[in-house]
Amino acid sequence: MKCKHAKKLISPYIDNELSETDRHTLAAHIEICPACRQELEETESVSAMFTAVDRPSAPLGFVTRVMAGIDEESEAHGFWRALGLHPHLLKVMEVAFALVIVIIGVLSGNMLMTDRGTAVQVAELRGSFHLEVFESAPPDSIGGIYASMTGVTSEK
Amino acid sequence: MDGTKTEDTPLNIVGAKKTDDTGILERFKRGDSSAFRDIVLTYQDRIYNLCLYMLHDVGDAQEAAQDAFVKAYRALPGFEPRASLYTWLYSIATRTCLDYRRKTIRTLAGEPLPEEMPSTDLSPEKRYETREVSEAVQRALQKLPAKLRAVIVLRELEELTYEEIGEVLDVSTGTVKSRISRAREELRKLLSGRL
Repeated sequence: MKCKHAKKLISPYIDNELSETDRHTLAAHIEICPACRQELEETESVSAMFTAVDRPSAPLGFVTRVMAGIDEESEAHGFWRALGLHPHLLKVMEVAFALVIVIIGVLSGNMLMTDRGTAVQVAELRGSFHLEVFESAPPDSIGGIYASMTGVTSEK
Repeated sequence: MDGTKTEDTPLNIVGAKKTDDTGILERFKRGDSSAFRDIVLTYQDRIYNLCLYMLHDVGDAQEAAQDAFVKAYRALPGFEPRASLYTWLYSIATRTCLDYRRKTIRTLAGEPLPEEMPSTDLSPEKRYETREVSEAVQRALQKLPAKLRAVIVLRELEELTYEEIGEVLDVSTGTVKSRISRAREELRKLLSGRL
């Protein structure tokens, strides 16, 4: 076994995660390789240090705070839960509802745009611009005088 | 665990076995409101410790641990019994801590965590030495990248197997093995003065 391969087996060896075959192969290599033996010993020392690490308990009142947080959330979704609607389903419904509103808005807008193409509304639109004002110039206007001089009777 | 606590005294000091988890889950599905409280009681210390060593801040750890349990409550109706409850809880807590770290910008001062009540079994010199080692390990842990810290905390402090760590982190056993090796190699360098 080469050292490069042996080094990869050191951690699982310490954690008892090696197959029997690999354990024996590594053990045999450790016997003859001082560098790998040192690495194994140092890694075991690091692992052993964790036994000194504090393991504090959860603070007093932790369970109460967790349950209070859950109760708050349950109250917020209580009505929907009473209908048998899971909060996740509620969120999906909210998104779906928003999408429906947007689609209705887009479709309505499209309908307004297409309706403008009808002849009646085109006429109404033209009428709102009072284009008849420009169809013929009054006689006493400069346009009217010009028209009489040139023989042009209308803008059309 | 602190045996003097009354409000939050856990039901099972050793840790819930699979049969106990099954019983609690069945009670929860039947609508027993005390079932989830029992889950929190059973796993609060382990989840809190995991968050504490992932985040190295008591306040953040409390918040993350509480958040993890609330998320678990929401997701529990969809929990598949073939996975073990505690690896599932660890998975939620680990992801919560990793998300927490991404969202908050923290400068890690490397300060040691609050000291627990010292064991009266140890001599003063031994308690001091133990405290020193604990602080050195905590400081070294904080210097590890989050993914390496997660695997080493789950292995060394929570004593999960490689397979269980893989379930928690949703990675292969090979990835777990590789990350643990890298984490220990980093820790060897960081703690070289004590070896």
